[in-house]
Amino acid sequence: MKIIECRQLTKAYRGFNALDQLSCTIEENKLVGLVGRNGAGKTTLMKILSGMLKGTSGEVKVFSHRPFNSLLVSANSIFIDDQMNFPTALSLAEILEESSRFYEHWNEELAWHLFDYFGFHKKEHHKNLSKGKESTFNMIVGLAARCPLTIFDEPTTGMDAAVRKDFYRILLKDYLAYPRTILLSTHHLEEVEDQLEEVLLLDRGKKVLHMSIEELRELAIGLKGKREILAPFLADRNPIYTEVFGMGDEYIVTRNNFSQKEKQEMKREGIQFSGVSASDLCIYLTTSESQKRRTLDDILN
Amino acid sequence: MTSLTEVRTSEVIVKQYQYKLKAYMGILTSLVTVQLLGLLFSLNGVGFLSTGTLGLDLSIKYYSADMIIIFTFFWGFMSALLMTTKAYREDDFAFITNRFSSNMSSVAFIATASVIGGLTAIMAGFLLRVVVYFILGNKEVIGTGLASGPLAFTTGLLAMILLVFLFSSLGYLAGIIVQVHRVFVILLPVLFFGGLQYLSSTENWNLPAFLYEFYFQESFFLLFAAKVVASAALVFTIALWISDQLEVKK
Repeated sequence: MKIIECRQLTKAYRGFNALDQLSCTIEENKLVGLVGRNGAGKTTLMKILSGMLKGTSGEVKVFSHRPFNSLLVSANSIFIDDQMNFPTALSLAEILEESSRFYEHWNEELAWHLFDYFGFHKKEHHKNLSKGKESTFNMIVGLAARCPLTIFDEPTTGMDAAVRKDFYRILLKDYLAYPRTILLSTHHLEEVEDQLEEVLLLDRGKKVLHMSIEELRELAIGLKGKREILAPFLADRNPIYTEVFGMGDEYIVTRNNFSQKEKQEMKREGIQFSGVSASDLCIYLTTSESQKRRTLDDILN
Repeated sequence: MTSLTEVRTSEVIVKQYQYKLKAYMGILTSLVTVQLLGLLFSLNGVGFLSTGTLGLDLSIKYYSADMIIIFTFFWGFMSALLMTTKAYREDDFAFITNRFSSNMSSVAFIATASVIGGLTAIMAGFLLRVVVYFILGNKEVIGTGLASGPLAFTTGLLAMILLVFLFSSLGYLAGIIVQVHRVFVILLPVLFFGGLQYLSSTENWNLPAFLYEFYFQESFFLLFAAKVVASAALVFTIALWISDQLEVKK
């Protein structure tokens, strides 16, 4: 069953398109990472999916319904970001109580255990929490709600390393215990990639790729060697990333689709192979033209 | 296969209404402040009359709870306007909602607040009399209006509640219009007062006079009630229609 379907989805703001003809589908019970640079359109997409914003053109379906103004989508999804607005008059304990009244599958036990574990006080108020504590509390609400579609936008903002680690553990554990579709946007892919099943990479409102994390890890290969030696092997290829260093040495990232024969040849020529991590690859794939033309080194030197 | 939760709109509205009763307590606290302020202003009296003949001096000072009532209308208008602001609307989106249920639960809350506001405003009239009694010491206090029988009192109370509701609905609509575009913060008062000024100076049709006649000169209470409720319903419907397209968390 498809939980999310986008066809040619565009969200236009004055002067630019936050989402540009985006098409994607997300299947049921997947843990999907939404990755991309700042301004890639991650948050816009998530807000459209949760019915907060309205797409300018194209089609978007969540549970086969248009999410904007849909009570069904609202009841079965939750959107957690670092700007969560909870009623200021309610204490933390009251917010959890209200949430439990609204969300049918609310996990009372998990909510209160985590509440105690992370050292919250019942009478505290949400607006007085520190950035990291706020994110932690929002995360508790997001997990305990157990909505069939759970959307986390940068859930770890402000969390310290220990809490982040805890969060990823709880996320995976609870996901396995209660499978649901989880969409998670992050700038720290390396921290979550072991939990994720799929990655959806956006760049300037467009889909760059959508594949399983295993495929992504195998997608590219890093080659290191003398430029003259590398050149013939790369003749009819587009390198994803090129870095020059030392005396005519080059590090080149390219698609990992060399034949066995080519690889052996390269090895003989002294070219070193290395894997490219998912998070590095995502950065290389979303390097803008202006950055390629003029590297940061040129500016700094 | 994920089983989806089916929800009924009415259920969600009731839940939201219950949470708003808790979350919007601040609005009722401000009511107390506003009415006490109105009471304070009322202590000055609205009129003074003094005559003296042949060694007999007669001084009459008039007190009126009008100020409390006007302040309560203002409170209703502002509170409803406040409820349409970004922070309040986003609060609803922390839980299950759509724009319709969010608006309807707000209307239900405003209705409740109007009952409380109207009731306390009328009661504050009695408080004014008590306070005046103590201020004046051993002088005579003659009450008018308030003690004119249970039927008149009830009618007055209901009318008060309905009018607070009407003013609140106007505040709600004004708030929603401002949410559409910031420019209405300036444009709306300009249009309102400008239009009022213009319409009250035209010869053949005077809007303020018409409104006064339409609502306040209506002697048959049920008809008055129907007029006010219908007007408020119309205003809320327009607000609902506009806000149905409003995005949140831009």
